[in-house]
Amino acid sequence: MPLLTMNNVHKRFGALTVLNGINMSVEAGQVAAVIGPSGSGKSTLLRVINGLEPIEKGTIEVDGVSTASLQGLREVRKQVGMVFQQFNLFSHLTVGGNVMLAQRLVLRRDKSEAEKRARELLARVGLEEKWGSYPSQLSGGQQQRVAIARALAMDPRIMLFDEATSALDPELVGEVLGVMRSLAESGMTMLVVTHEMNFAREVADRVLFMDKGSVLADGTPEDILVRPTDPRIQQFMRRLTEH
Amino acid sequence: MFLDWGSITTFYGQLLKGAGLTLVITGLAFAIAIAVGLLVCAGRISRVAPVRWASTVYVEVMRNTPVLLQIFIIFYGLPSLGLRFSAVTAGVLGLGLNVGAYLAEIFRAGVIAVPKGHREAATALALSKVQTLIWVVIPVSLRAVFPALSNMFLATLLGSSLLSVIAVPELTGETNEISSRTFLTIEVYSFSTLIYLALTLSCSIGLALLARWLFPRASRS
Ligand SMILES: Nc1ncnc2c1ncn2[C@@H]1O[C@H](COP(=O)(O)OP(=O)(O)OP(=O)(O)O)[C@@H](O)[C@H]1O
Ligand SMILES: [Mg+2]
Repeated sequence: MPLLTMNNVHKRFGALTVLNGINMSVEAGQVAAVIGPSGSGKSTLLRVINGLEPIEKGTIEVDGVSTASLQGLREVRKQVGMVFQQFNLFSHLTVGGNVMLAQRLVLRRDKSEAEKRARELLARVGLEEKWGSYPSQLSGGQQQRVAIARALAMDPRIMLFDEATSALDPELVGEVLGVMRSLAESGMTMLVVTHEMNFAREVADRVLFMDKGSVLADGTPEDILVRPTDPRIQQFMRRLTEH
Repeated sequence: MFLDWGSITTFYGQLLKGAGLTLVITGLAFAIAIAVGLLVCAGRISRVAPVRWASTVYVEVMRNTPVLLQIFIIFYGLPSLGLRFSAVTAGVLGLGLNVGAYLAEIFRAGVIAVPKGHREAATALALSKVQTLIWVVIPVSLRAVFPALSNMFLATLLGSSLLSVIAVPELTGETNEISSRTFLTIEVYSFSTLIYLALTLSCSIGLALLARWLFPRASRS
């Protein structure tokens, strides 16, 4: 059984249909990259999975749990980690506080257990010495790595990345991609919206191309990125390589 | 002209008692204002339209009419409806209800100031709405509105002198009383002014220290 299943998912913003009957699934351990033009619905695709946006029609299941009920949605949110383009760290909490908050409140871990897990994960993203710093004292790349540690602290089954490196200065992109790469190698299931075609080619098992609210193509990185047959994908790839 | 500063010493005790009552009134009125402010703020951003309207009417009426009149209504008006308060209670209530309207708007601005991403991150981490409110929205907005809250606190302290009009023996009331009894007008009013200044300055310093303790410099976004 796939870890994530989306069945006929529809999402509208007013008159604008943003997801137009999405059907797709992600197997446990798989890394799927989502690419496509701006406004095609990539972010929305991720945001409906953990209910940041409600859907009008269709079903979403994570590990067999449907997001249709409030209780199911809460369960799914525990299983799904999300990393945002703008990091979204809690500015009033230290790095340690950021990584511990949900462990304490949602998983009800006691302080020493939460701290142990937080320190482990911060070490994993190379930031153990930033424990007492506030987000405003960190570079974008460091903030994003803390955000990844914060999501991992919930021990999620699947991680969603929404253009995790798009807001970063070019010289900071590498450190975040490095963490994502090692996460993929560790066997984490990942759904990654990205403009980093090299990352998609090297790390993803699968690439989904979205256009106008639909998954236009779904295949290996080779199929989609190297030898696309669909003219729309060819055009998209050409635009990317032009600059 | 002859100023008799020496005689003021006789009234130190009375003035200090007045100053004490001023602080108590300010504290109580501000506590009521915080409660009212939170409630009305919740009403202002409520999804239920009539609740929203009622809260807006409350805020606009309280902010656009004289606070002294509001106090008169409570002290002189409500007894005819069978609600009788002592002068202190009526004054504290009137001041609190009035300041509450301002605080509601300050709190609302604070809630709006919380970046949307904070709420989304909390939701994605499976925090409940209440947990998000307590652990994310309130701390972040409190930091944003703390300077405005401090100003309102000082305004409440100074505004409490209005209660002298309904014969509450707070600092201004006691000053009036001494002045009319002794004719040490300039001396006693100047001295009270200095006491007010000392009160507001020490409150300012206290609030600034509180802010420094609550919000470490680097935690400001
Ligand atoms: N909260 C919202 N209200 C109204 N319209 C929205 C909202 N969020 C997104 N949209 C619209 O939905 C469409 C899809 O948006 P989405 O953010 O999913 O696209 P995207 O593929 O992630 O684009 P990008 O590559 O620019 O991030 C866009 O036209 C966008 O303007
Ligand atoms: Mg997007």
